[in-house]
Parts: sequence; C-alpha cells; structure tokens
Amino acid sequence: MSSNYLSHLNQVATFMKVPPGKLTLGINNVPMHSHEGKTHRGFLNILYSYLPHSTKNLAGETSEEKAELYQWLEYSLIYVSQSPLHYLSEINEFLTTRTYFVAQTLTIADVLLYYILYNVMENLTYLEKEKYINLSRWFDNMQQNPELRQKNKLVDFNTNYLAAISPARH
Amino acid sequence: MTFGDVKTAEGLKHLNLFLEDKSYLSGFVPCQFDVEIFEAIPKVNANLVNVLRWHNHIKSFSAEEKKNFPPDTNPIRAGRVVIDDSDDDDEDVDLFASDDEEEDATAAKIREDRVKAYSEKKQKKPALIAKSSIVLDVKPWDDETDMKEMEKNVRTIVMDGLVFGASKLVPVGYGINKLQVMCVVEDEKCSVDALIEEIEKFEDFVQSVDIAAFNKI
Repeated sequence: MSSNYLSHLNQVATFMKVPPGKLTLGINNVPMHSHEGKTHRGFLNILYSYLPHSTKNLAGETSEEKAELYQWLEYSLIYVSQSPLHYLSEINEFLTTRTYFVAQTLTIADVLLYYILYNVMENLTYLEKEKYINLSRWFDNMQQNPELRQKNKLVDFNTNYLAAISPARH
Repeated sequence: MTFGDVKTAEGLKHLNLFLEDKSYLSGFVPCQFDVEIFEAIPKVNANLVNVLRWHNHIKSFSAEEKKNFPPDTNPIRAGRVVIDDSDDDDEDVDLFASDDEEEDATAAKIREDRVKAYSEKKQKKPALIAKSSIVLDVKPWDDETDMKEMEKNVRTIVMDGLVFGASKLVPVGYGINKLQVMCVVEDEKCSVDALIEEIEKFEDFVQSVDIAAFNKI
C-alpha cells in the first residue's frame, strides 16, 4: 500500500495544480516531500502543505468542516487504504445522506478517496456496484470531472445489465 | 426523466429511485433543472432518503449560487423546452440537432429537392404490375367432344386482366386430345381459380381443368 501513497499524492497534486515536489519514501515507508527547501514528513502533512497553494477551495469552510475533513483523511489512510473492500459498505451507508463526504462541496477527502477507491471500484462486479449504490453514485459523480479522473478510465456504472435481474428498478 | 409529477407522493417515490444512483437530476453538476424541481418540493419526508440528500445538497447553495448554475442540460428535456443553444457550442449535449442553423436550412432544402426529384422519377416510371403466365390443360369428356367448339368457347371468356395466348391440342391417348391454352393474367385483377371455374362452366365440353404450368412474370 505504501508505494501507492506516492502515486496518490502525485495525483492529488496534479488535480490541485500544485507542483508535487520531490516525493520519496523515508524510514518505515513514511512518505517524504521536499519542495523549495522545505521538507514535510508524513502523508497528511504533505497533503496539507499542498492545500494553501491550490486555487481550488478543498479544505472546508468552518472549523467543524475542517475537523470532519481531517477525520475523513485519517480514516481513508489508516483504514480504507489498507483494505478497501472491508469499508465499502460503511462508506456506502454514510453516503446515503450525503452528496460529498464533508459539507456540500467537493473537498480533499473526496479527492483522496476517489484515488484510493479507484482500483477497487474498477474491479467490482455490476451486482456489487448495485449493492453499494450510494458509493457508486458518489464515485460516478466524482469521475465525471476530467481533472480529477486524470489518466484513470471511466468506471462503468451502466445498469442495463441489471435490468434483466430486477426490471422494476431500472 | 423517469419520474412524474414531484408534487404527488408517487412522483416523489420515483424521484427517490431516480436519485439513488445520481447526485444531480441532470448531468454531474447542479443545473437550473435541479433548482426548478427543488423549488417544487417544499419539504421532504425522511424516508425518501435519496431525495432528502439531494434536497439538502441543493439547499446548501445560496440564491446567488443557484442563479449561476448552468441552464438545464438534459437532452431529453431540451426537446420539450426551447433552449437557445446557439451561443454555447462547447456544451456538448445537443446530440441530434445541428449546431449551425443556416447549414441546417440548406441541408433541409437539398433533402427536399432530392425527395421531390425522386418522387417525380417514380411517377414517370409505371408501377410494375405483377403478372403470371399460365398454361392450362382443358380436358374433354371423350373423343367425340368437338375440340374446335371447346376452344372457341374457352376463348369467349372475357375477364379484366386476362389475355389468351396460343393454344394447341395435345394427344392423350385413344384418340382423345386435350386442349393446352396459354394465358397471361394480372395477379391483382384476375384470379386463376376464378378463370378455371369459368372454363369448367362449359360442362358440355369440359371435364376438368388443370394448371400445367404457372410462371410469375
């Protein structure tokens, strides 16, 4: 997983249009970042060092939103990125009442989770996508942004296939 | 749009299903259509969880932000509501309409001309009439039947679309001949069965009539 950290950071930096700087893995696979003489250690520190340089407002408005955001980032890193499959149903349930993870706008939490979940979502079957319908809806909405998607492929959420199984719903 | 009137409970239920896998009503960013429907729904029951989520989300935008949403981009609705798309060509939703009105008009004119020319051409050419060439075997009762009289009788039959051709007598055996007569019928005007019945009406001469050959022309 730790090798993915760097690619996630790279993708996030590209999305925010900030220079990713020099990213390396330090002791205990902790990502290190150095840019213009400053060094940041640890994934979230690096992430937060990007935020002020971006023109996009991804950090949340109120302090409550900021706190929530930080919790989501920790959650994504500590739990979701380790074994994404185990957390799909939890995330799905959370998204039942939400369009985005924090507040009502796109934040860095959405961005990071998109990159973390991409590999998983790509390999889900249609039935599983249907099972995690709220997650699928969120993911589908995320991936429509070409800046966010970057080189990733569009994950197909076509439900025609499912019409044969449960015609009433599609 | 797969939901009906959102003011009814049934419509809301469909909207709930619709929003299950979509974040916005049309496309992937909020648009005026979202606002329109949002304003039609004053309050959402908590059991319609998808509508509630969407409703809360749209509610979070200020009036100013709502005003700046892009116009309704749904191609399905675009057919119903007149939208002037001519100045925002970059919005790639106008799937079937041409983006240049003038070009459209000339294209329509060319098409019209072609249709006209084609129909004129078609009118000049006579419609193809389906015809059949038939050889009938007319069999007499016995060798004493007057074949000449029989042939004369057969040829008296007049039907619309029927033309008799050559005929000849073919020996069958024991001095008995049968009359083979060629005729051409127009399929639409004259039926072969009716013709055979007509011939069989000359009971004094004709025992039976068979179709020896039948070819579509």
